Amino acid sequence: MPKKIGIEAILIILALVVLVTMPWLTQETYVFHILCLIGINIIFAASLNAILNIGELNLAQSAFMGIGAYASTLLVTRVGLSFWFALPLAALITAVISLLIGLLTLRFRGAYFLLFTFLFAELIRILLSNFGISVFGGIPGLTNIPRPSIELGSLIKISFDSKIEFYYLILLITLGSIAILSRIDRSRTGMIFWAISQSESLTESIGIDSMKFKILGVAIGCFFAGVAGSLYAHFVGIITPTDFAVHSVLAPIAYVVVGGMGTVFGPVIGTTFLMVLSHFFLRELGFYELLVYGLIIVGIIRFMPEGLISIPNFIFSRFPEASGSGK
Amino acid sequence: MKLLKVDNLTKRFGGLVAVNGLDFYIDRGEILGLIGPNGAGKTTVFNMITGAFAPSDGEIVFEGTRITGFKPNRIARLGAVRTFQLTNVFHEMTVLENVILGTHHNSGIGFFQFLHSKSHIRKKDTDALEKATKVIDFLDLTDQIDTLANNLPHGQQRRLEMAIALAVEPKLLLLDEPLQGMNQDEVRDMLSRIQKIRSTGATILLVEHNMKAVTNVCDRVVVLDFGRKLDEGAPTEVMKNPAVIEAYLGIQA
Ligand SMILES: Nc1ncnc2c1ncn2[C@@H]1O[C@H](COP(=O)(O)OP(=O)(O)OP(=O)(O)O)[C@@H](O)[C@H]1O
Ligand SMILES: [Mg+2]
Repeated sequence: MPKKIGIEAILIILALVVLVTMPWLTQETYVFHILCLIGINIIFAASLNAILNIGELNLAQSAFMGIGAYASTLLVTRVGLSFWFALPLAALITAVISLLIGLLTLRFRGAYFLLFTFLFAELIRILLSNFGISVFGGIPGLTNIPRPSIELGSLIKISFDSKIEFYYLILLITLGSIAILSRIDRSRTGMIFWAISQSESLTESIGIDSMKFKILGVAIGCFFAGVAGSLYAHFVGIITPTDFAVHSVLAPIAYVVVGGMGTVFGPVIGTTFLMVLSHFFLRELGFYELLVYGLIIVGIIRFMPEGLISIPNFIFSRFPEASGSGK
Repeated sequence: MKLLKVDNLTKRFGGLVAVNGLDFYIDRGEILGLIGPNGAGKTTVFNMITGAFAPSDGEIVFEGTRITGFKPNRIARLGAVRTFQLTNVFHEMTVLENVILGTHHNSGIGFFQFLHSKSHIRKKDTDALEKATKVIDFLDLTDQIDTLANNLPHGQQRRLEMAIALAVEPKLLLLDEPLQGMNQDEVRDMLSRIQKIRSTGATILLVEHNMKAVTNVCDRVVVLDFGRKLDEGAPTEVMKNPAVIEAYLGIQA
């Protein structure tokens, strides 16, 4: 349906214009602080979704974000790399570790996979809290993580100290991540991920090595969890093992489900909607905040099982004449 | 010449022996029926030949290669491709996408093909597309080519399954009750297709409860009962064997 693509494109361009001109709309530090966190959470929710695409829920996804955060921090503070090299390297380290974990755990499916990834998440938290304290900082974690800066010769120097500059950095990396993930989604490889989640037995029976693709899917997802972790560390400046404990994967699962599982834009919409809701609108409710928040999530899941992303379909199927005009 | 040979094939599930010391072979170009009452072990034999279950004992040799314990995808790439007793399609994909995936392993499209767009199915991938449309046409699904598998009626879903399997270009096609739930016209249709598939050079192992169909289409049958081979031979001969009649009646009574 070409007319729907047209509307989507217009919405995306509109959103981009608003995002890019944001500093002219408001100078509120709080707004940029939350927008940065939304960007980081979008990358993380999308990474979670990438693994959901092969039909598994990875409860250790936060732990992999933690691996990215610690790796990036240590690469900057201990090895002396600049942030610009530390970020991709940390993401790569995260992906490689997930590759090894994937080899061990992906032969287990469903509930067993959940259990193993749960245990791995706990293992990482315990290791970071109790071992190599001189390096990992123990339970208090690592502090004073430097913000990135760009120095070209002695003339040009951009430091990302202010929230607004960091905002643009995160905006760029979030857009790049989403672009890459949606490219993968539309590729033959993405099609095979999707096939595996629908019927692994059939995928195997037509000669496709499902294990190879599942491991690749996990590695791609964890690469972006690593990106989110690195950004988080350098944005917030403090990381502790509990930031990445197993419970911290729960909110992003809600973002993915509310936005729409199995689509690239679902997690984007779900994360934005729920985080804007809770940080800008529900704060006034005080005591009732969590109650209302929970009710909204349950309501969306109950009445829109395919998530917010299905709203256009919902509208178009109700009013077919509205969709028939643009052709 | 023998395409497939199984020797002393055995599968135990805890105390239950689902398949017990089974020997049989399939000649090239043959349609072999594998029949027997419910629970006789037919699907379990399929699962072992195609690698879904590792046998507890015994050997499977395909084209002279011992494939016992190989993974399903490897066996499929060697040329033994199955369909499933319970309808098994990629239900959220269109007919074309389903069949294109069947051509994937032969397409030369490598592992890290992120740039290989799905929309290229229609443009660049002319080989695969040609192959897929031919198979879709053969199974009379051309009108449904862009329909989601989920939205097809049962009979067409069964045909789609066969189309996916044929797209893999099997040397041995294993069909697990392909006529199940079909009306008489659909059955007749499917039988003539099965014969056509054989005439293009494929060999077929057919599990089916429809005895008339088995008699019509199979060159030879193997009868299973409680995991053991009860009889083997020409369909009409085997149906006369009192032990075979008893096995079937015994279950129905
Ligand atoms: N995965 C499994 N675990 C335990 N027992 C199994 C398993 N698969 C099959 N069985 C048992 O093995 C026996 C043979 O089952 P199988 O499905 O091979 O029979 P079948 O001949 O295909 O029957 P039908 O005609 O009903 O399809 C049955 O008793 C069944 O309950
Ligand atoms: Mg069966």
